[in-house]
Amino acid sequence: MNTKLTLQEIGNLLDRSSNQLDRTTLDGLYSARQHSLRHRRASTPTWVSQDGTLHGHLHLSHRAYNWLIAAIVVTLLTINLSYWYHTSDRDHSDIDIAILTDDLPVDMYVD
Amino acid sequence: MQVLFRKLLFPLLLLAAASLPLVAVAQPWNSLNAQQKAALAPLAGTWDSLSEKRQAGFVAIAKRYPQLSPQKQQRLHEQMEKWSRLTPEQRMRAREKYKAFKELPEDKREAVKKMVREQQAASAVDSTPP
Repeated sequence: MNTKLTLQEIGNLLDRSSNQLDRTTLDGLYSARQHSLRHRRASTPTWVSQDGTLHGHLHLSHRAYNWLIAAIVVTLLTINLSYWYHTSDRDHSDIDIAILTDDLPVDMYVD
Repeated sequence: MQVLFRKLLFPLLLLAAASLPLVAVAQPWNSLNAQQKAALAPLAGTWDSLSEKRQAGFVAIAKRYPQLSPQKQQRLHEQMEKWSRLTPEQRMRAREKYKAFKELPEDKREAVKKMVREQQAASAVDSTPP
């Protein structure tokens, strides 16, 4: 029981064992593998090398991709809303002109 | 469901990107055109020190300047410099007060105007050197 097996030997043993499996089990395993491959969320991170350059690719599943796009949409909409809310000050040219051309001085409207 | 999700997402993404506001950038006095410079002449000396938002507000005013009568253009110039020195809060309050004032009956507005004119006349007399 103290025999140490190498990875190669373990692989060979597994191959031999799989050859002894019945057809139904093999089909089930094959089907499960295909299903798993279809629904995998493979993600290869982007790596930064020592010189600071980026290389590699980011592979996203369709679902993750959709979520990414949704997040971008939400971010852009938030930026828009925030911007227009905080800069509503610039849409007062009508009333500003009315105040500035009024015969009463601006001081009258200032606390 | 996923197809519908994706079909909706791209138009939404385009819409959100297209409606992204142009970022307010400083507009140096030298970059203004002749019409804008004429409209904003009282601010020539202080223009470059104004915030980007305030510059954008005055550029909007300058756009409508040519449509004003000569009398209103002159009045605008008289008050512009003072208006530029107000804080955003003061300007917002002034707009509210102006709206409230405009809702008063005509006779009350005239009474207030008369009172202000009298005060101005009195202060002008007071400030005249003997």
